[in-house]
Amino acid sequence: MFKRPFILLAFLLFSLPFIAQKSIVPNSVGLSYEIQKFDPFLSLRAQLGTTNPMAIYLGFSPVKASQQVFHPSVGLDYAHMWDWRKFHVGPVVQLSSNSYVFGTRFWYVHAGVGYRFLIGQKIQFMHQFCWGPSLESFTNQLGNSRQFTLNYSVKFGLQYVIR
Amino acid sequence: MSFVKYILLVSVLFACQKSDERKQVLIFGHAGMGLSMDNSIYHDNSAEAVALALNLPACNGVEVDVRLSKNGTLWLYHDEFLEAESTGKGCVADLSDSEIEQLNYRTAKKEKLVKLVDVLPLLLPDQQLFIDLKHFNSCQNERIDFDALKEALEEQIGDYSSQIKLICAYEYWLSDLSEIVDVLYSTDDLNEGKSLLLKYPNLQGLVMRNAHLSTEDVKIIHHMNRSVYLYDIRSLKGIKQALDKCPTGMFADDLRQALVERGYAL
Repeated sequence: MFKRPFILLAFLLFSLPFIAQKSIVPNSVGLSYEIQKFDPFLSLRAQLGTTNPMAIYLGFSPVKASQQVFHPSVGLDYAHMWDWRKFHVGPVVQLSSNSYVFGTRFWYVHAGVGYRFLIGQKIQFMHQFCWGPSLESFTNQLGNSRQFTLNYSVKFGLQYVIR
Repeated sequence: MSFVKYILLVSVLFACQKSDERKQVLIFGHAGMGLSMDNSIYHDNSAEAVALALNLPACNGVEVDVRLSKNGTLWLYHDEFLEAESTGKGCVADLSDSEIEQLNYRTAKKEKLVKLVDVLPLLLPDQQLFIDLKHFNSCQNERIDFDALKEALEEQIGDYSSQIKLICAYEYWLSDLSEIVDVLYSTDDLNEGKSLLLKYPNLQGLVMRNAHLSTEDVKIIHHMNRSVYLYDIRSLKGIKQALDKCPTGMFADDLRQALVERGYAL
C-alpha cells in the first residue's frame, strides 16, 4: 500500500538533476509545525543557505504545554535543493530528539529521509516530509524500556529570508 | 473583598476540586497501547503492547480482548476473523493451540498471538487487568460453550483473580461469571445497563462508549454504588471529555496522552 508513493517520490527526486538547476537557497529564519507519530512540535528554525542548506530548529510540544509539561525538541536537517519552475525542491535528511518528564524521563530520537519543498521570495512557504526510524526510551521500576518504530514527520513552515 | 476577587477565588476552588476528581479516574490501556493506534508501536492485544502499557508510569492496568480456542485456552485477539489482522484464517474458537501458536499479526514487528496466562505475570501488584470476553464464534454463527469458558477462566486466571475484572456483553452469563471474579456489563444502551444493575446485585458496573454517556449518567451509576468505565477515547479532546465526566476508569487508546492529561492518580 505504501510502496507506490515511495517509488514515485524516489523517481521524482532522482530525476531532479535532469530537469532542474541547482538552487542557491538563502539564509532564513522561520517557524515550523511538525506532525509525527507521537507529539506535534512548534519550532523556531534557522537555516544556513547554500546549495546544501542546513537548518537547526528548537521547539516544544504545544499539546504537552497545555498539559503543563515542558516537552522541548531539537533537530538538524540537511538538504540538497534544485530550482524547478517557481519551486525549490530536493531530498532532505533530518535528525531530531525530544524529551519530557512524566514520572520518569522519556527520550525520543528520530532519523529520517524525505523531501523538502520551498516556494516564495522574501517569505517562503516550506513543506517537508521525512520517514525513518524512531527510538522511544524510558526507565521505570522494571528497568530500561526501549522501543524502535518507523515514524513519519510532516512539517509546514514559513521562513523569512535574511540574506 | 471585591466581587471580582470573590468570583476568581470561587473559580480557583472549583477548578482544584475538578482537578482532584479527574486525578481519581483510573486509566487503563485499551487492548494494551490502544486499538489500531498509530502511536502504539505494537499491535493491539500483543504481549509487547501489554508489557509497554504496564511499564508506563502511573498506568493502572490494561484491558484485553480474549477468545477461547478449540483446546479451551484463552488467547488475546480482538477481531472475529483471524484473517482481519493475522496470518491465520477462520476463528480462534475453531483452531487448536498449536495452530494459533504459528500465527502472528501482519505488522512490521510480526508480534505473535499470545495466551492470557502469558500476560498475567506482567501485572504489577497495584495494576488491574480487564478481560473483554468475546463470546461469539462468527465462523459457526453460534455462541461459544459457556461451561468450557468458565472452566478455562477458573483454571487460567489462577492467583490473579483479585487483579482481574471480566467484561461481558451477554446478559445470561453475568450471574455465573460473578461467581469467579468481578464482572462488568458492556452495553451501548444506558437504560438496559441500569436495569441490569438493578437485576444483578453482584454486577460491579458498566462499560460504555464515551460518546454514549454524559456526566449526569456517570453520576447516576455512581449513586447506584456501581462502577462505570468509558472506552472509545482516541483523541486528546476525547480524553479531556472523558476525564471531566469523572468515571471510575477509562480505557484509553492514546495511553501516553491520557496518563499525562490526568497526572498521577490520587
